[in-house]
Parts: sequence; C-alpha cells; structure tokens
Amino acid sequence: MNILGPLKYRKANQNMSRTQSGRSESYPVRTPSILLGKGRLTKDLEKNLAIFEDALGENADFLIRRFQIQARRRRLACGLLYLDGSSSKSDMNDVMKALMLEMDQSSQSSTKTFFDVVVAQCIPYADVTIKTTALDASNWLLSGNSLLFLDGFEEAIGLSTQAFKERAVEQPQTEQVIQGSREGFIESIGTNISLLRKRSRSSDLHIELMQIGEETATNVAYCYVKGIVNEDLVQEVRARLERVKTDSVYGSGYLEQYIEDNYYSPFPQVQNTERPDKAVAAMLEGRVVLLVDGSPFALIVPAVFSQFYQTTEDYDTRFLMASMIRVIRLVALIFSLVFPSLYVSLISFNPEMIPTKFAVAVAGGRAGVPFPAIAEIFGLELIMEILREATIRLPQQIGGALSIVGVLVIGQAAVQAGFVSPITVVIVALTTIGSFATPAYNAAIALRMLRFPLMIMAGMFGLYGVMAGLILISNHLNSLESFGVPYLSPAVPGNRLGLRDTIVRMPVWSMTRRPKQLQTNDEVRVRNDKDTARNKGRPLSPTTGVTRNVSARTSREEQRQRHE
Amino acid sequence: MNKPKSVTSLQLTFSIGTSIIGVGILAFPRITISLADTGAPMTAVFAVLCAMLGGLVLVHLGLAYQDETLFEYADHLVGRILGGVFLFAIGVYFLELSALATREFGEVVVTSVLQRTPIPVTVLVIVLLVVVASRNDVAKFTRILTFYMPIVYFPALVIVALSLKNAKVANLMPLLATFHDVPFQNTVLSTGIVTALFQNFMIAGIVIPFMYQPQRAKKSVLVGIGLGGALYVLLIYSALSVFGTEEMKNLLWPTLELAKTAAMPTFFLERLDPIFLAVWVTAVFCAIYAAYYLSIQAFSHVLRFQDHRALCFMGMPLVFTLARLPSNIVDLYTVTKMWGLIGLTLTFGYPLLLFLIHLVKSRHVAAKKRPRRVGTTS
Repeated sequence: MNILGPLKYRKANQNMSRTQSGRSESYPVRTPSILLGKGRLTKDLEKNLAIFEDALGENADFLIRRFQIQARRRRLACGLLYLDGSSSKSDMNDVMKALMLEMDQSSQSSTKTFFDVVVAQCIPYADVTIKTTALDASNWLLSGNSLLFLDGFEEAIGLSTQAFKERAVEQPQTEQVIQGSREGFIESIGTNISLLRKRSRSSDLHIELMQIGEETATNVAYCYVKGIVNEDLVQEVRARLERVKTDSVYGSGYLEQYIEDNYYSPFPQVQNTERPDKAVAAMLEGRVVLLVDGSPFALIVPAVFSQFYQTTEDYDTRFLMASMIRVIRLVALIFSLVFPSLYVSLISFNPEMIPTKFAVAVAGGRAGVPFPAIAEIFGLELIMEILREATIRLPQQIGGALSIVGVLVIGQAAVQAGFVSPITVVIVALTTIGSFATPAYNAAIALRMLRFPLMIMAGMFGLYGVMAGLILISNHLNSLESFGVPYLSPAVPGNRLGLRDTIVRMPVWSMTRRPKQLQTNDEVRVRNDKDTARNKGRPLSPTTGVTRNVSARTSREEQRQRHE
Repeated sequence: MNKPKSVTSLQLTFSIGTSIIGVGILAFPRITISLADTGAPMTAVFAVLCAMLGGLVLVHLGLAYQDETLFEYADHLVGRILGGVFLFAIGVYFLELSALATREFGEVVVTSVLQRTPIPVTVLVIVLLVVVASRNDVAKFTRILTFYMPIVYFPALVIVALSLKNAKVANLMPLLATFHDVPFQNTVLSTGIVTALFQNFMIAGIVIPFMYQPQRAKKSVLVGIGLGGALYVLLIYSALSVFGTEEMKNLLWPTLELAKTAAMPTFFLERLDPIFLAVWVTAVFCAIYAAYYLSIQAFSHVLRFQDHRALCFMGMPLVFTLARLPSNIVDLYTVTKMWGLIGLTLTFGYPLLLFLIHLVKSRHVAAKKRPRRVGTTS
C-alpha cells in the first residue's frame, strides 16, 4: 500500500494552489492554502494544532486526536492529525499503541533529544518523515497521511498512513486476450509501478515522478529503461511534461492532449494501454511509458501507426498464425475506411465494372429505393454510428440485446420499407465489423470517422474522388511525426529488420534488433538468433540418436573453451 | 547551413522512380511511335540513358557540395544574379510543367471517367492535393514519394502482364532493322520527347544534401531512373506488341487502351481500367507534386525566403490559370511537346554548365595549390 509513501504527496515547496501573493491579491477570501502558507510551526503544541484547526477545521473529515505519552518520567502532550477515511486507522493504532503503552524507558539512550528518541526508537513504522514547515506538513496531511506533533518540538512527524481506496488488479476491459497475461493497470499509480517492476527486475528500469496540476497535484511517472532508451527522447518527454501548466490533470487522456505533436490530426500519436506487459515491452523497445495517477491507462510515446493494429497476443501466439491474424486485422482496417465509398463509386459512377449478373441483382435490390446511393449509404452509416454510440453507455445487460435488436430492426425494416437496398445493409455491416476488428479504439475511430469525408468525395467524383481522399490521408500520415519518429516507420522510411514486425510478425528470435526509428542506445535484442533457431538436438529420435547430437554439442563446447 | 540528415538512399531511389512516372505515360507510345515507328522503344532506351547522364551530373555536383542544394551551390558557381535568373527560369519551367500535367490529367479524367464534370473541377482537386502536400519539408516530401512507389508500379506491371495475352510478336518487327526508314531527326526528336518526361529527376538536386549517406546517391539516382525507365520501356513494348504501329496512331492514350484490353478471367470485377485510372491518379499526383515542389523551392530560393511554405498557396492560382490556357487537347499536346523540348536545355544544360564551371573552378583552385576545399568558394 505504501510502496511510494514519501513520493505520494505534494512537493514540499509547492503551495496548494497558485502563488500565495497572486491569490491573496485576487481573492478577498483567505483560503486555507494561504493560511497554511503563512502558518509557522512553533514549539507550542496548541499553537501548531491551531494553525491546522483554523485552516482545515471546517472540513468534516479532518480529525485531531490528542493524547499523552509518558517518557523520562514526564508527561508529554501529543496531537495526531489525520483525514478520516483516507488514512489507515489500524496503522495509526499501531503507532499510538507503541507510544502510549510500550515506550520502554530503560532502553532509551539519554544522549539524544526526546524527539529523536521517539522517531528513532519508538515508532514501529516504515515510512516516517520529518516536516518542518506548515505548508509541507499540510500537503503531507492532505495526501491521506497523518501528522504527529509533540509538545515542545517544532517539527512534525509525518506518518505515511495513506489508505486511499483502490480496486483490485483485474483483467483489462479494453484489451482482452485469449492467451496472455490477465493483469491490467488500475487507478493507483503505486500499484501500476509495482506491476511494471514485477515484469522487469532490471536495475536499469527508471521510474521518475513529477506532479502536474496546481490544484490536483496529480502524480505522473515517466518510466524508461536506461541504456536502451534514447536520452534525447527522455529529455523531450520531460520537457513537454514540465511545460504543462494547468490546474488539473484528471487522467492520461488529458495529458495525452498536452504532449501530442499534432492536435489537428485525426490519428492518435500517443498509444495508451491498460496492459502492464505491453508497457514493459514498449519500454524494452526504447519507448517511454507515462503513468498518470487516477487513470488505468498508461501512455506510450512515441507511437507509430503499426502499433495500433498490433496486440500483445501477436507475440504470444506462433508467428504464422499471428501474421495471418495481423494481416486480417489490417484488411479489416482498410475495409472500415474505404468500403462504403468504393461501393458508392461503383454503383453511381462505374457500374460497368460489376459483373453483369451481379449488377442485375444490385439494380433489382435498389429498384424501389428513392435515394441516390450516396445518400442511402451515408444515412445508414450515420444511423449505425448513432446506434453504436447509444449502446456503448448502456448497462451491459441491456446494451447487448438492444444493439442486436436495433440493428436488426433498422436493417430489416428499412429494407422492407424500401428505404435502403439489402446490399447497402451488407456493406454497412461489413464496415462496422471491420472497424471493430482494430484493437486500438482511438485509431479505429479515426479511420471510422474519415470514411464519411471519403464517402462524400466518392459521391462527387467516384473512384477518382476516393483516390484523392486516400492520397490526402496518406500524405497526412506520411508527414505526421510522433516525438520526431515518422508515423509510418518502419515502412516509410523503410527498415528491413523493422518490417519483420510491421505487417506480418516474423518469429520472435528473428527480430534481433530494437526498432531502428527509436534510435536506441542498445540495438541488439536477440543475441544468438541463428543459434536458437537451428541448433536443436533430437534427443528422442531413434535414428539420429542422442549420441550424435550430444557429441556434436560437446565438441562445439570444447571448441569454444579452446577459443577462450 | 545545417540540414537535418534524414533521407536514406532507398528513399531517394524510390522518390525519383515515382516522380518520373507521370501523366505522360499514357500518351507517349503514340507520340514516339508516330515519330519513330518500331524504333520507338529503342528511343525510350536512349532517353533513359540520357536521363541517367543528366542524373550523374547532378550527383557529381551534389557530392562536391554535400551540404548545399542545387540552388545554393548554383549561387556560388555562377553568382547570385545569374543564378537567380536561371533559377527563376527553372521555377517558371517546372510550374508550367506541373500546370500542363494537371491539364492533361484533367482531360484524361473527363474523357474517360467523369464525362459530365468540367475540367477545371478535376484540375482544382489535384492542384489542391499538390499544394497542401507541398507544405512539407524535404524529408517528408521524399517520404511521401517513397510511400507511393509500389502503388504506382504495381498496377502498371499488372497491366503489362495481362496484356501479354493479346500481344503479337509481328507487331514488334522489324526488331533488328529498328530505325530503317526513319529520318534521323525523328529519332532524336522522339528521344528528346521521352527524355523530357524524365525531368523530375531534378529533385535529386534538392534531396541529396538531406541524405544520411550522400556517397550512395549515385547508385540511387541511377537505379531510380532505371526503374522508371524500365517501366516506360516495358509499357511501350507491350503497347506496341498489342496494337502495332498503325493502330497506335488512332489511339489518344494507348496505355489506357492497354488497360482496357486487360481483363482478368474469373475475377469479381469485369473491367480493370477504372481501377487503373484511379491508381494512376497517385502516379500523376507524385509527378505533379515533384514538379510543383521543385518550382516552389526554386522561387523561394530566388526570393530568399526562409521557408517555402508561404509560397505554396500563392503558386496555386498560377498553376490553375496556366492549366486553363491551352484551348483544346491538340493544342495541349503541341504545347507540352514544345515546352518539354525547350526545357531540356534548362534541366540538362544548366547542371552541365554548373558542372563545367565547377570543373574549371576546382582546377583553378588546385592550380593555385591552396588546400582543396570545394563548397566554400563564393
């Protein structure tokens, strides 16, 4: 619970909100943050407590527990400050029990001051810090920790008793896999960091913390593997994060919008994931992972287009199947973009391309339809999007049923009423299914929305218009960059080794290098690819038995030893 | 001036290969064959060789001045004023070239696909595409051209492969007595016309200083021109073998007719030519893009602009107006032919001139026994 206790609170020198002076000039009200900023800790316990009482006393969850401890034959008044519900009561009980009942005078050394004795010997608690200013102490307190004041000393003892409620680690909702890890990030950054550590126990894994947002002081961690990542990338990420000056960051999607390269692009330039294994894999490729407190999504930068149709499962299954599935996914992606516009241009502009028999069937289906093809398919696609949006927020029990019923009724009834032709319904269905086959929601929605302008182009210029639209889109994709990395790399600019993991996925042992476009410090990922792939003994084969292979192996080892 | 090194040699190859496949590919079999009969494919081969020579000159200059574009070292070699004049001429030339290409493209589209759409509309669409794309820097420019390489080449190769079904070897004859009965000046003219289609290789002049390994530029340029040239030669051979010299003279765009004869048996689509035309839009886009980009870069260098982007949209009405000037398609082809031949002196002559001056200068410097540092002379 407290793995990041000392890190989890607001920075010591940072006020609750904007600069004190600026605030007090613009606001006639003396806000608690101003009061606390002016407050000065003294040796008098009651005065110290009064500072906090004045500033925070009106809050329902702010509690002060006064008690006395006995040590060196004198009584000492103490005060424990905490926020009800945010602090762990059992932890505080342990501390109080130690202070009130178990302070063993005989073992205390007399050379130290009493305060040091309490801190060093009497508090059986892992995370303890000393707070010297009221502001620092209050920041500590408001992060869910507790403060212990002793009468006669002007420092406060901070106990890291933070116990915000968090949900258990569950299977990620957005990126489910059949084969692979079922752990997903949760809303607490501490747990998320531990999930990363769990998968990469290298000392090179760096996790740096900063706080963004003047009011929320949201913890943002950027994680990378030192020695692999390009240092310039880390510096750029840090610089972009430091430039974010806002009062609040609620989640990773917020932060993404602050740090992305091109705001106007429909394509996501930052990847987000709920899966720790994906995040670790990205770091080991040389990317930087950003964790935001309060959001179960980690951000991965830089992101290139191919990442958005890859899943972790691609690497978990065998490479032939994974490659085929990936190609199918890519086809689905292209379907969702161009299918309706191709249909429109074929029907309205180039009907001679359709085989005659089928053309007759299409014409028969469209016989009673009053609209031109473009209006028909545009309307139906629009209705489809509305349906999708309507069902997405319904409770699961209703949602599934409603979506099926809605689509069926609208499709079937509309066809029978003569509003749309059956083939249009088929096309729209294919498009929608295609867009759902893309693993990344944000990339899928970009292409799904781009199909509307494409449809309009198709309605105006036929195939020529579709082509013009596609050229526009691919020009944009080619000129897009994410943190200086070309968006379509490793396809353009081409990289032979990178292409092994772009459209298809070659065997994992053959992907010997990290992505070249990331310009990593350490390029080599697999050191003995040929060796792992080819040198396989046949220990149980009756013909080429154990002996030959064993002897071959031993002779090779002997050679190697002789070399050394 | 420091230039970010971000272009690989493969990108240069593909960029050149893509940019020289343009709108001319539809009509050039007719024009060359009417001039040189069955010798036309050979003139195409000659044209490829000529273009390669021109490319070599550019590469040599580019290697001598590795950190400077064609425009910058031209300023050093012939002086700012004279360089400016030449550069302005190049800018105007490529602007008109892109305008003619858009017009030709508009004619093709309106004739074969969108019969009821006015030409200015189709022209406007492609001009808009080009103008928007030309706002990118050189690295992205090459990336875009590289990206389209397979899309440009693959359908053309499919067409060639499918047209083999209708090919007759007799149409190619006489193979050995190729230039029999053809006046010499016709051969030269035909070669010149095909060479004029290759002028976009000039982009090498602005791309080379952005390369990771400029020393590989020579191979890239040669292979790039060779790729494009091979496609030209393949197309003219297959067009000739399918149609023969006499039929060819009746066809406005033989390559398009070639696509029409190609049909895939047992395929979902009955005809392939609309698909070919649609994909061919990318080829046209790439060619016009390269020409327009060159001209915009030239103008922005003449006017000493820091960034060429400001000029992109200013060039748009110019191209649009220039594209509307030819009154009809016959007029258009006359102008295109003339303009291409005139331009050859500029696109081949100017680098050659620079090359000669460079030779003289570097000899001069060497003779003076100074430490030989080319590129910093002013």
